[in-house]
Amino acid sequence: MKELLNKIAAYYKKISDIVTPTAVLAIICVVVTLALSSTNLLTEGKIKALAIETQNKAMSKLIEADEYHELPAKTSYGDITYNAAIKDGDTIGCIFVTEANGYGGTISVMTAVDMDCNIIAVEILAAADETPGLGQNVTKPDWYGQFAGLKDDITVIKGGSANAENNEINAVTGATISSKAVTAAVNQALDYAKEIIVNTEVKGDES
Amino acid sequence: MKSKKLSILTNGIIKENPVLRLVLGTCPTLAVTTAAANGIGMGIAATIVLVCSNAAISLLRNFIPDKVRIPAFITVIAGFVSVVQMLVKAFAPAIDESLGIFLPLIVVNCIILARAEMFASKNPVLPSILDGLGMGIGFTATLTLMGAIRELLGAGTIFGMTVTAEFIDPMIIFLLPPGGFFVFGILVAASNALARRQGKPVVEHLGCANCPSRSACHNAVLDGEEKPVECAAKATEEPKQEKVEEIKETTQEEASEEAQEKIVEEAPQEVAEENEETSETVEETVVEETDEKVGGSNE
Amino acid sequence: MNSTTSIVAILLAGILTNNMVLSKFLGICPFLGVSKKVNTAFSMSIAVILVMVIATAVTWPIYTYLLYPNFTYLQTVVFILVIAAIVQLIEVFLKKFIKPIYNALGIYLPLITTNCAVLGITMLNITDGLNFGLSLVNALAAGLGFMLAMLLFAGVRSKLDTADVPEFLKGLPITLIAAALVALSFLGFAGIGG
Repeated sequence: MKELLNKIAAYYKKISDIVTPTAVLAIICVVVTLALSSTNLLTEGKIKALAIETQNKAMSKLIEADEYHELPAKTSYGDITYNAAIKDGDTIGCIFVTEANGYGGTISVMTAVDMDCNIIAVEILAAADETPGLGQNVTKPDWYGQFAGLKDDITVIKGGSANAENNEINAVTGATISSKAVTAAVNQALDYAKEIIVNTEVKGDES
Repeated sequence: MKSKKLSILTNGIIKENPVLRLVLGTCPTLAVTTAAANGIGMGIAATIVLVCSNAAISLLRNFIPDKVRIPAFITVIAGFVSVVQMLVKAFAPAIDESLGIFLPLIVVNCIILARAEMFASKNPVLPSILDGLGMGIGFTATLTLMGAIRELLGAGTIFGMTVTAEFIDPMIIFLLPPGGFFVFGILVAASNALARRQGKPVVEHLGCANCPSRSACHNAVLDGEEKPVECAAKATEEPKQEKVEEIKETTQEEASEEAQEKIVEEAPQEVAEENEETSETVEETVVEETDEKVGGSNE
Repeated sequence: MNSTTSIVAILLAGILTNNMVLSKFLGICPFLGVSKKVNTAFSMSIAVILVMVIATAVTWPIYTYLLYPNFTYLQTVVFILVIAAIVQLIEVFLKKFIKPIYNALGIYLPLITTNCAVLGITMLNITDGLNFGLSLVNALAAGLGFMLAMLLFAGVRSKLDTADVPEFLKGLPITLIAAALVALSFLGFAGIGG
């Protein structure tokens, strides 16, 4: 009798050993998922609004405009999206976000060009992987201010003897790779701009 | 009673500082301390997760079966981390940017799993919260200190304010990975020197004695297997068995022997009430034995 | 052609320039804890490489086809649970079918669940927007980088045993300072992958 009871107890234990942990774990997972989705509901809108706000802020630093229209475009380099800056009903410039590989990782650059494809200003959006104190200096306004007014095929010059008329900029001391990466990203933006601005002019102004 | 609670709180700040004494959470310690402000951000985020997960795990400690303990803890911790991550993204985007991937990686921050495993799963809610808070403050303080040192030497600023940058050229190397290891090494040396003066054991190695998954390798995953050679060999420092009533330091063998005795002694009452709660270091066989005994006594 | 160059770039970056341990500070715990002997460091690294690649092969499709774009907030929870499950499954599988490998690597596998390098690489693959193939290459590269750092550091540490270390630096401090020097040497690689 005792043996039988023990056997039943052991069998019961075996089953509950599998079922109980699974059930508990499943319940925990469900509760966690519910908690996360409700937090997500609360924060999602705020996070999205924040992203748009930071982008608008960055864009308004480059070109002052009434509004920015996000537009898709087909270029020979692939499909991209860009922002058209609109003031008093006219498109006064285009804003592109481009990326290039720097020293430690991807550098992301925002470039604003006017309708003649001259650079109005650039802004470094992300260069967190660059070396602090060297490559990170590309994020200083003193340095990226050099791009304003340049037109095409910008080249990087070491040693500080760059001539803006030849579309040259000075490299950051000790960080030629980061400087070249930013420049490559800006040149890419210029390439986009040339195609898009010329194309829309041919099509006539839809805006 | 009050002083006991206070000592749980201060325990994590000084005596068992998670970074310098327990040597846990080394990855974020090294990675985000390039500036004092980052240290504070990381510290606070981790503290929130630590307090919440300690509280939740302490509440659930009688419901979570031993077998799925680690996955259950990880799920709870990951949940809190994701909540904190979303909140930070929504309300403090600057912190999100500076901490980057190390914000979600709080999940695998050894401190949190270690406290869940060593403290919260064995103690009531209030002490667990205090323990989490103390450990969190200790973590935050150390990270901020290290961030301040690296920022001062590497950029000449503290919290972004210029201090020495104008008359001493900043030594960028302190912001780079080697500087992180170096400053951490010196801080541990300093904390060791203090410990030595007070006659406490110094931190010799980061080994399995301090490893939160040490218990995981014993129970959860390596069920019934022999102990990992590496862990056994590395256990130079004595593993800790923590209870609120008695904070004892014993060697591993002693601890498990003690726990065995305890379980056997208390088996009729305790195990019947809380079938799942078994001491961390008890071997599988002992658990089975006691379970059988319970079966017998029920009869 | 393009994919070949990006594979080479990813391998170089993962192994040398963006070394998991020495420049991204991921996986420091095993780096300091299991690097005392060259052969244990080697076994641990092999286990890490295995788990990293398999974890990426599983988490990438889960993220791309199940979580994206509506449930991305579940990424952390899902990834860590998947990794924990994978580690368990690998262990059971090796134990049952490939006993010799299990004997060599088994004891390191449980340590890997909480290794932030594994969770880190699966997340970085998503953040970096790599496709499935390149994600696998990236995981392999990160694992190889981890192995290189482990082996180098294990070599350094074996010399450290016989070195005359100042009293106050003995133990963990000198280990960290040695790690600083190894990290310093890796700074020399920076920029190659660019």
